Amino acid sequence: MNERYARYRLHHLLRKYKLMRMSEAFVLALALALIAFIVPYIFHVSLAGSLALSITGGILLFLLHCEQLQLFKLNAYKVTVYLNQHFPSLQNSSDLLLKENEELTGLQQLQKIRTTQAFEALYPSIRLPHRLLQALGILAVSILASFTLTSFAPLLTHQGSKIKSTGTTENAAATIIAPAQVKQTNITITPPAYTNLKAQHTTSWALTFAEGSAIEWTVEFTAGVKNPSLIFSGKENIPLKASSTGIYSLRKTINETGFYQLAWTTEQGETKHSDFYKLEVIKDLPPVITVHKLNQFTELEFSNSATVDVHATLADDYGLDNAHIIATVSKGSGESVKFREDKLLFEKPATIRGKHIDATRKLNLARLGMEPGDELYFYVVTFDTKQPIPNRSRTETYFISLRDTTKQETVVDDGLGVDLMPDYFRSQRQIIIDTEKLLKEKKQITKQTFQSKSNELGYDQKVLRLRYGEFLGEEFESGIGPQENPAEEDHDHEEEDITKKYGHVHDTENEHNLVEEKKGGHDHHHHAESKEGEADKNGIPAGFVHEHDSEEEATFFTQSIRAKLKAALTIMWDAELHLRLYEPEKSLPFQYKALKLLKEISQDSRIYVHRTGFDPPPLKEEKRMTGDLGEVKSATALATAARSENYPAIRKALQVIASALSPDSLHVDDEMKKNLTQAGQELSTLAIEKPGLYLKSLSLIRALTENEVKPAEQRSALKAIETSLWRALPAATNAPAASTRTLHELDQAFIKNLRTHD
Amino acid sequence: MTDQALTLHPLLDRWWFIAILVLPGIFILWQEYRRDIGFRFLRMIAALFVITSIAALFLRPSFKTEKELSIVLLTDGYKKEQADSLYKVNNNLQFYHLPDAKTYSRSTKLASVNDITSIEKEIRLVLGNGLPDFAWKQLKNSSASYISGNLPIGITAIHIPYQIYTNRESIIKGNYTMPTDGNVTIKLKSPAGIDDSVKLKGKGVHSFRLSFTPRQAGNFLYELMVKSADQTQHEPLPIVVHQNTPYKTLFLQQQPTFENQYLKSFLSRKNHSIVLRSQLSRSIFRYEYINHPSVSISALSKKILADFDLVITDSETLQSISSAESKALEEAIESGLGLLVLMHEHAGSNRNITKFIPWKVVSLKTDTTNIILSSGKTTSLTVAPFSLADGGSPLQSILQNKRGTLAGFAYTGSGKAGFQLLQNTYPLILQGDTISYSKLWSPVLEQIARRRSVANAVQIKSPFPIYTHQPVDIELTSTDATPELKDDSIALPLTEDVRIDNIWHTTTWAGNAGWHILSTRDSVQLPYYVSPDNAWQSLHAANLIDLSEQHSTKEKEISDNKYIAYTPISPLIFFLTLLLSLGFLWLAPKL
Repeated sequence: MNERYARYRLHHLLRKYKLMRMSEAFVLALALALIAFIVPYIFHVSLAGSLALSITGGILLFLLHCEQLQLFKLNAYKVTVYLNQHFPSLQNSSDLLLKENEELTGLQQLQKIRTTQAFEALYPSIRLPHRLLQALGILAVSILASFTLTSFAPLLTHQGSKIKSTGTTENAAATIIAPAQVKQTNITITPPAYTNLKAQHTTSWALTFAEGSAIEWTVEFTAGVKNPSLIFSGKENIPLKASSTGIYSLRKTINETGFYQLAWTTEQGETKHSDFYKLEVIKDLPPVITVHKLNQFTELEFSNSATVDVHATLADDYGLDNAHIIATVSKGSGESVKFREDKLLFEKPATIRGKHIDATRKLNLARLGMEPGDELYFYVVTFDTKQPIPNRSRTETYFISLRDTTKQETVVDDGLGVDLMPDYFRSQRQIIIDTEKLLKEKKQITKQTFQSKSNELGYDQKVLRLRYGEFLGEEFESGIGPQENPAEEDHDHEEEDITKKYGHVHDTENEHNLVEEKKGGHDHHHHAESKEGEADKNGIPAGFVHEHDSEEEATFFTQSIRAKLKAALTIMWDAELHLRLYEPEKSLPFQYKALKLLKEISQDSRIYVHRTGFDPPPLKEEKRMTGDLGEVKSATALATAARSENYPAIRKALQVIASALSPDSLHVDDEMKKNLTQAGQELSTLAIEKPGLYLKSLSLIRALTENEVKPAEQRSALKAIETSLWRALPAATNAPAASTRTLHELDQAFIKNLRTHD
Repeated sequence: MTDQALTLHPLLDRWWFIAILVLPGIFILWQEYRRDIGFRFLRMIAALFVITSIAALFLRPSFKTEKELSIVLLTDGYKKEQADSLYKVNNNLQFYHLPDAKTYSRSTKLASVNDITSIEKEIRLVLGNGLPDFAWKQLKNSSASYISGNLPIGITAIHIPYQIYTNRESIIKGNYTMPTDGNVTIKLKSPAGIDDSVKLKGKGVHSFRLSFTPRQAGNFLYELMVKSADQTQHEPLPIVVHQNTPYKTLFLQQQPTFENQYLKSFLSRKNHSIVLRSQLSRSIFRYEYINHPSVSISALSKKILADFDLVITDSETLQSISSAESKALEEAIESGLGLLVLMHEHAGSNRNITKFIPWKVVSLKTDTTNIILSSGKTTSLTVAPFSLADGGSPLQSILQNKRGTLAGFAYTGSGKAGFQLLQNTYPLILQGDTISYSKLWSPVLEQIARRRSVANAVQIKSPFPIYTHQPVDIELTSTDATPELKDDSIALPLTEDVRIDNIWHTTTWAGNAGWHILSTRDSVQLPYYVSPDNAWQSLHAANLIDLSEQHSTKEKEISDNKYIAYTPISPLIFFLTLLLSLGFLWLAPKL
C-alpha cells in the first residue's frame, strides 16, 4: 500500500511538473503571440495576417519550449533520476519505487522500503524546478508593450479610416452627407391652401415646391449640438428651434427660388456645414385666356338684334376665382366722344370656379345702348385663387363698331377708338357744332349773349383760317389774339374764359409746335390793337380783308391741294363774315363747305406735320472767328475710367485650380481653400438665380474646404469646380493689347540700312 | 567573312610576360624529363600544354576578319516588307530595333535610343518614324538614309497661336490623317466644356480649325477629343492665355467727334491710358487725361511722344499740325511709335499727309461698304469715298474687303503709320454690338501700336509635344551681357551663339508631366507643358518623320565600308586543356 502510494506520488509529481512547465511555455507563447500580433498590426498588416503570424509564432514557441524541456519524452523514471540527483536521502534508489516487488531482489526490496519511507518524509518538501513566475513577468511586460504600441496607432483609425464619401446625386447626398452628424431629417412641405395640394413629407433635402409653401424642417442630431441653423441663399441665417431633446425644427414660408444649407456647432466647438441644396419654387402662373372666333376688329351693320358672342376659354394651374368682361362703349366722335364702362359677367357658367372653364356671354349691342357709329371695346379679365394677391390676366382689347350709314366716311381706321387726325381739322367741326348749339339756344338766351357768342365763334373761325393760311404760306398779318370791337372790350376776360370752356385750348396752346409762337401774350395785344388801328384808317377792319400777299411763295402742298386749301380759306372768310355779322345760320353752310374741303385735303395729303425748330439769325461772315479769346484758358480734364475685373475671386481660383491640377500629385492646401471659399461666395450670388447650375460646385467647394473629399476624388472634384467657375464668367468684349518684341542689334541695323537705301 | 588571321589581345604586355612564362616553362619541362616514371613523352606534351594554355589565357588570341557591316535601324512604325526586301538585296545587313518598335525576326533589340552610340558608325538606314533630333545629331558622322514607313494615323500637325489673349477669339489649326474612309469628330474642350468641334470625313489628310475665346488669363489645359468609330482619344492641349496689357494712346483732334469720343471711352474702359488734345482755337486746347497723370503736351516733341504707344488723329488735324510737330511725330514713328490717321478726306497736296499717308489714292463713288465682323453677320458702314493702294510704300492691310484695304499701315523705321477709312463706326456701340465694335477696332489699334522692346525673349525650339526626360532646346535673345535662364528653379547653362551676338542656346531635360516655367532675370516667363508619354502619339510620329527626312543623307554614299572584326577564341578551351594537362601530370606518377 505504501509502495503504491509512493508510486502514485511519483506520477503525481510528474504530472505537476508537466503542467507547470507547459503553463510556463504557454505563458511565454502568449507573450510572444501578443507582440507578434501588435507589431505587424501597427505597420498596417491586415488583421488576418497579423493573427496568423501571432498564432503561428505562439504555437511554434510553445512547441519549441516543450521540446527544449523534453516534456513530451518525460516519464516517471526521469523524475526519479531528478530526485536521486537532488535528494541524497533517497540514496539513489528512488527508481526502485517504480518497480514491482516481484522483479526485485530481496536487498532491493529492503532498499525500496527504506526509500519509500525516505520519500514519504521528503515528499512535502519536494520543489520541482520551473520558471512560471519569470514567464508571467515576460507576459506582463509584453502586455504593457502592446498597450504602449497601440496607443501610438489607435485601433479605430485602422479599422474605420474610410472617410465618409460625398454623394453625387442630390437625393443620395441628402441622406448620406448632409447629416454627417444628422441622424434623421423630416421635411414637410405644406403648399398654400388655395392650391389644394396635399402636404408632402420627404427626407430629401433638395426641394421643389409650389410658391408660398410653408416648409418645416425637423432635424434630429446624433449628438448634442449648439446653434443649429439653416442658411438661406448664403445670406439669411435662421436658427432652428429645439422642440425636444436633440430634435430641432424650423418652419418658413418660401416664395423665391434659392438654395440653403444646414449649419451647426458640435459640442467640441467645431462648426459644420451641410451641402447646399436647392429650393426651387414653382411659380403660380397667371391664368390663360383664349377668346375664340372673334376678330380683334369687327364692324357690324346696325340692327336692333345685333349681338356678339364672346366665347372664352379660361385656364389656370391651381384654379380660377373670378372672371368678367370689361366693356367700354364710346359714343359720338371727335371731341365730343363719350365713354361708358361696364363690367359684364359671363352668362355661362354663372360662377367661375375650377381650373379649366369655357365661358360664354352674348353681348347685345342695342341693350348696351349702342347706336350707329358707336364703338364697343372690351376685354376679358380673370383672377386666380392665389393668396394674398391673386394673379390677374387680361386679353387684348377687342373692338366692335356699328357702322354709321348716315354719316360720311371720315374715320381713318375702322374701329380705332382714337382719331388720328390733328387738332386743326377738328376745329372746323367744333365750330359747326358750337354754331348749331348756338342756333338751338337762340331762343333761350339774350340777344347780347347770342351776338357775343357769335362774334367769338367768328374769332375762332379766324384763328383757324390763319392756321391754314400758314400752310399756304400766307403772311401772318395779325396775331392770334382777342380781336373784338372796342365796344366789347369790357368782355375781354369773360371771353377768354368762354374760349377755354369751348375747348379751343388746343388751338391756342400750339402744343404741336406747328406754328411758331411769334409773340408773347402781351405783344399780341398791342400788336393786334395797332394793326386794328391801322385797318380802321382804311375804313375796313384789317382782320376782315381777304389778302393773299405771299401765297405764291407757298410750297407746302401740290397745286391741286393748294387750290383746294385756297378755296377752303375763302369759304372760311365767308363763314367768319357771317358769324361776325351775328348771322350764324348763314354762316353754317359755309362752315360745312369748309369742313368738306378740309376733309378732302386731309385725305389727299397727309402732310400736316410741320415742325419748326429754332431758326438762328444768319451770321455775318466778316465777324466770324474774330472774338477775343484772350481770357479763354485751355481746359484740362482728368478722369479715371479703369474698371476692375468682375469676379476677381473666381478668376484667382481658376488660376490656382489650373496650377494645382497640372502635376500628378494633388495637394489642397489652406491657401487654396481660402481662394475656393472666396470664389464660392461669388458663385453663391449666381447660384441664387441658377441653383441647378452651380449648387453642386458650391457643395464640392464646401466639402473640399472641410476635408470631406477623399484624396482620390479631389482631382475630379476640382475639375467639376473649375468647369462651373469657368462657366460663371461672362463673355466680355475684346480689347487691344500691347505686344512686346526684342530688338536685336541686327534688326536695328537692318531697319537702318533699309532707310538709307530707300 | 572574307579573310581570316589570328591576332592576340594580351591582357598584359606580351614580351615580358612571355619572358616570365618561358623560364618556368623550361624548368617544368626539365623537371618532367628528369622524373623517372613512365609516359615521359606524354608528360612532356602535357607540360607543354599547361604552359601554352596559361599563355593563351592571358594572351587571348582571336580571329581577325575583314567584313562589310551595314546596320538597319528599325524604329516604331517601320514596314516589315521594307526590311524584308532590304535583306533580300543584301543579306549581310544587320538589323537592330528600338524598344518601342515591333520585333523583327532578324533584329537585335536596343535597350534605348541612347544605345545607338555603340553602332552609330554602321547605321546605314533608318526605317519607320525615325529618330529624335538628339539621336540624329549623334549619327552626324555617319551617313544614314531614312525611309519613312507607315504614315501615322491621327492628328499629324497642330498649330497653337503664339499669343492668346483673354476675350479674343483664337484659332487652333491642325491636320488629321485618316488612312481609310471613316468619320472622325474632333472637339475642342475648354475647362468650361466643348468650345468648338469639327467633323472630318473620308480618306486622306484633312486640315481643321477650331476656335475658342478664353475668358480668363492663366495656364490652362484644354483638351482635343478625337472621336472615331472605335475609340476616343483625349489629347491634352496646353493653352497659355495672356492678360491684355493696356497701352498709352494720344488723341489729337481739331474738334470733338463722336467717333473719337466712343473710341476713347472704349479704350479707357479697358484700362488704357489716354491723353486727348483737342484744339479749340489757334492757341487754346482742351486736354483730357484718362487713367493718365497730367502732362504738358501743348507742343509735341519727340520726348513727349516717346512715352506714348499710339497716336490717333484724323486727316484734318494731321494737315494742320505745325512742321515742328510733324517732324517730332516722324522721328517718334521712326523709333517705334504707331500713328493711326482716321481718314475723312485726302488732301494730296498737304505735306503732312503725303509724308505719313504716301499711298496712291483711288477715288470711288460709293461711301458705304459691307464687312463681315462676326459669324456671318454683315455690317454696313460708311467709308471715306476713296481707297488707298500700294504706291509710295508697301501697304500692309489690316482690314480689307472687295473695296480694297479699309485699314492698313506701313512700316516706317521701327514704327508704323497707318490709316482707317471707315467712318462713323460708333453706331455699332449704340446698337449694342460692342463685340463687333471691338472686333473692328482691336486689330487695327493693336497692329499699329508700338511694340514695346524687352531685353529678353525666350523661345522653345523643340517641336510640340515635349515628353518627359527628353531634351528641350531653348533659344534666348538677350541684350544682357550675362543672361540667366531658369527652368522652374534650376539655372540653365547658356552658350552664346557662335555667329550671332546676344543669341544664347541651352538645353534642358523635361521633368515631370505638367507645367514648367522658364524665367529670365527680368521676370520674362515662358510656361511650357510636358505632355504625358501616351499623349500626342501621332503628332510626335509626324514630327519625327519630318525631322528624320531633314537629317537623312540624300545621295546614297555607297562606301566600301569594310572593317576588321575580331572573333575571340573562347578561353574555356584553354582552361579545359589546362585542367586536363594538369590532371594527367597529377595522375601519371600513380599509374
